Amino acid sequence: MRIPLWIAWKELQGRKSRFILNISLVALAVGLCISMELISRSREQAVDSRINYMGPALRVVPEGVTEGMLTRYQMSGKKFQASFLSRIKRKTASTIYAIEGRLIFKIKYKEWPVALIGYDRKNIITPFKELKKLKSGEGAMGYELSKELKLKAGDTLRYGDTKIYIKTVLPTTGTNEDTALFVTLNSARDILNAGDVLNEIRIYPGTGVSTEKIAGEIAALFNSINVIKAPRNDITESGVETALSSYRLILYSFTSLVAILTLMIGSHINAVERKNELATLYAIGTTGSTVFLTLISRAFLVGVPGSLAGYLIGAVSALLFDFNSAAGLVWSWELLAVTAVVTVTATIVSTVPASIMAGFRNHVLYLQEDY
Amino acid sequence: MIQINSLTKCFESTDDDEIYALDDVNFSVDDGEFVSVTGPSGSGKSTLLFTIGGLMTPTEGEVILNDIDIYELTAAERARLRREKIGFIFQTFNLVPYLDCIENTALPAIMSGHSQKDAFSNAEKILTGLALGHRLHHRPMTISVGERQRVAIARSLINGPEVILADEPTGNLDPETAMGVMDLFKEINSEGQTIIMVTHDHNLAKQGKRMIRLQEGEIAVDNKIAGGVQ
Repeated sequence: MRIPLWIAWKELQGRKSRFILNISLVALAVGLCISMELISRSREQAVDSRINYMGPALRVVPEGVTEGMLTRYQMSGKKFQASFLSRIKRKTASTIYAIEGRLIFKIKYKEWPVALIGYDRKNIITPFKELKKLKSGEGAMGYELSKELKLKAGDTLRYGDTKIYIKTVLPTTGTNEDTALFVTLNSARDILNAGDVLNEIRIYPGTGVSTEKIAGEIAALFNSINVIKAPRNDITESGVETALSSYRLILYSFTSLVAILTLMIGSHINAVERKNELATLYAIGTTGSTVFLTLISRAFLVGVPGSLAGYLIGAVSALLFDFNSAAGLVWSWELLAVTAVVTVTATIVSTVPASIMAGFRNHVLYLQEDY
Repeated sequence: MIQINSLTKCFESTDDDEIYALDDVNFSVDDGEFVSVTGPSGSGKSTLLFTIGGLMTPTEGEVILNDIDIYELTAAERARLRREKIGFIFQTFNLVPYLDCIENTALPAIMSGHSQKDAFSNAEKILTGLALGHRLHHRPMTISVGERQRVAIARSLINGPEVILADEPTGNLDPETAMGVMDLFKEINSEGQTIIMVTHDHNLAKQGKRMIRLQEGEIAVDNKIAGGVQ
């Protein structure tokens, strides 16, 4: 690849204006997608924050557990089977934004009652990313509880034979969750030596869905439960988010298609325009494969800076659109890496037909043409 | 030594007729010869040159270079042979427009795996020897046509080829520059370099040691030239 890359690099150096135009095309397409992605993410984050702030509209708990008891984590010994959550999900699938199950109980640690919340990492609605990453045997401690127990991140809480490594102390939320210790659902079940059980199901209804209606449906489904309704509006803007997600997918597809078609036309023109030069390379000792790889290398050299410049353009435009929301999102290595890989791949793929044509045509026909 | 045996190249025309660009051509070229191939347009001169150079597979016959039938080789092996054993010179110079003179000259050496440092050093020596030392970092479009052809000659020499194949090398040059290029060819040939040059110009053809005249794809005349380059 050394020689194709060298030739491609020299060609791009020698034709700077064309190089810049090619990069600009890639960068604009990428920039459009990135700005859309970042703005969408910031909107989603805003919706999530609002939901986090409001909490779930409905909480399903075992019969006898009141809202006050739930706030103090004084759960009765009753529990639901986990299949209970699946049944609610099936019944209310089209009307809910999210649903999550928890197993809440208390343990004694050095004579202090400590509330443990076993939660489902995949489905938890939380502003804390740490909770999504917690592993079995690890815990995330509420701010107030940490102060009371004088435990900090890195310490270990021992309860009988159980050890819970305090992975992190969560920032204060100003709610009762500041006084709890979060562990994964599996860890909680292991500590309690319980099977596949839950004792709180948190339900977040979708846009415009009546909480009363869902509460009625759930109450009709099961006996021995209590459905607690939170005093909040029935709006989570999931409809807005869904529309945004669908729209951005269409936009990405359309932008990518236009960019790929333009690159295909550009690479075809490039291959035709350079037929004498490529024939010369062939005559003086390259193979058709090397000519092919030279054009592919050119696409690579356009794709890499194009994707980076595009990311920059997208990030800047997202910041200009909504600085406060986008500021925490623009520097994402994951998004940058995905952008670079997808862009370079698309740039190369769009060049393949012209490169095959240029690499494996009858070069002798073009050796005697002037340029 | 190059041996051409029963070389035939046939093209199909649009009305399914077969056109014989070369028809059972036989000859051999000894090391150090300067052969001019001449003939009218369409007589098969360039086809012969490209076939000898491994660029155009013949319909029949063989091209043997140093006991190797070059069309028995794979495409990659033939590309290596073009790179290392054959130097091409074209009427339109065929320099790579975005490379400067030294890069154009060094290109076959770099493609052969030499380090850029060695390739550029060797290219500089050759270009300086051809009075182009002051044009090393000029691009082809910024130098005269005569200088471009000398760069093309330098490029053909960089890997020390067995044979130089020149296709109408003076076709785009004025008479004075053309004579300069011919003098250069004679000088290179006098150092033992084998040259096969295609030209339609009878006077230039007479500058070589031997002249082959093609007529409708067949050898009409194959003569040593009295008073040719010694």
